[in-house]
Amino acid sequence: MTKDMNVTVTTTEAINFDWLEARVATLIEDEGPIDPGESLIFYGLDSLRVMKLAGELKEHGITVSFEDLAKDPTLNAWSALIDARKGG
Amino acid sequence: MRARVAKARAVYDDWQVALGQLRAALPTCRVAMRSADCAGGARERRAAQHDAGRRAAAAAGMDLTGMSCLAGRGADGAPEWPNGLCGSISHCGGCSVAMVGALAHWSGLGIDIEQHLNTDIAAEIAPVALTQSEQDEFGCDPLQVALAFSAKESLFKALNPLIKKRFDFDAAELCWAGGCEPQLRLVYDLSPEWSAGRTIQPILIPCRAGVLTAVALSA
Repeated sequence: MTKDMNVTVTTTEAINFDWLEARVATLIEDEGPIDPGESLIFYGLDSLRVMKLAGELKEHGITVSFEDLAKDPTLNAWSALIDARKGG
Repeated sequence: MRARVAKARAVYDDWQVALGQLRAALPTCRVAMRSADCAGGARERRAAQHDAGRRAAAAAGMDLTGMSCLAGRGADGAPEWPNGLCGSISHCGGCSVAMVGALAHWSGLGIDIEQHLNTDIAAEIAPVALTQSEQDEFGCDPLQVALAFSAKESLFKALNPLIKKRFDFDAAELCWAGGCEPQLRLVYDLSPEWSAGRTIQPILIPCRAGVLTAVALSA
């Protein structure tokens, strides 16, 4: 479990929906499809993994808090949030 | 298969040591752990965790009250407790733990279990999970980061139902009063009663399986 969470990203990667979907798939350790409108809690995404994603985004210069992510934990909501913060 | 079951059993046994210490620290609360089957995909694992958490809550509630005690589920996914009780549930890998107490004694109870962090993950989450003051004090020490992260999770679970307000990891910081007594100090006002500077004493229990933390707010 820890090994999968260790996959790191480089700062040259494009932070877009595909990146987000791939990162979340790694974090939940499942290769199956993810419904972009469904709560990621139902896929087993826990607080530590949400925090890890917030940390990765911060490394890419995108500041989102844990609470920003936790209040609407879906791929669609996170993608919109990230786009908004990139623009900000 | 046999190796996976044996490992899960060993982790479960490791947690029991920490649970024993928690029971000793909070004798009026009841704590129970149940195992979840971690086979299958992410959704199946999560469903198994949820089921194990509810079974743990039922066992802790039965131990406390002598009656059947089924925790419901609120819109935000947090457990809803029968009248007269409070508590919380935490999941980590194949183990789910629940802590239950009487509202006559406790206004809020929070419990959290986390696996040990490795140095990479600790370094990654520290800038988001820890305040600047905590980062200055703890650096990226994996144990300290895990304890601070987990203690804030426990604080949220105990306090959120009371003040009915969500708050982030920057709302409190872990410090060591006198170098040995852990305290969570509120960084900003959460409510008139829970204002900046107020301190709460968390219970921090590192063990071989990971870290267990709890916050118990007196009635």
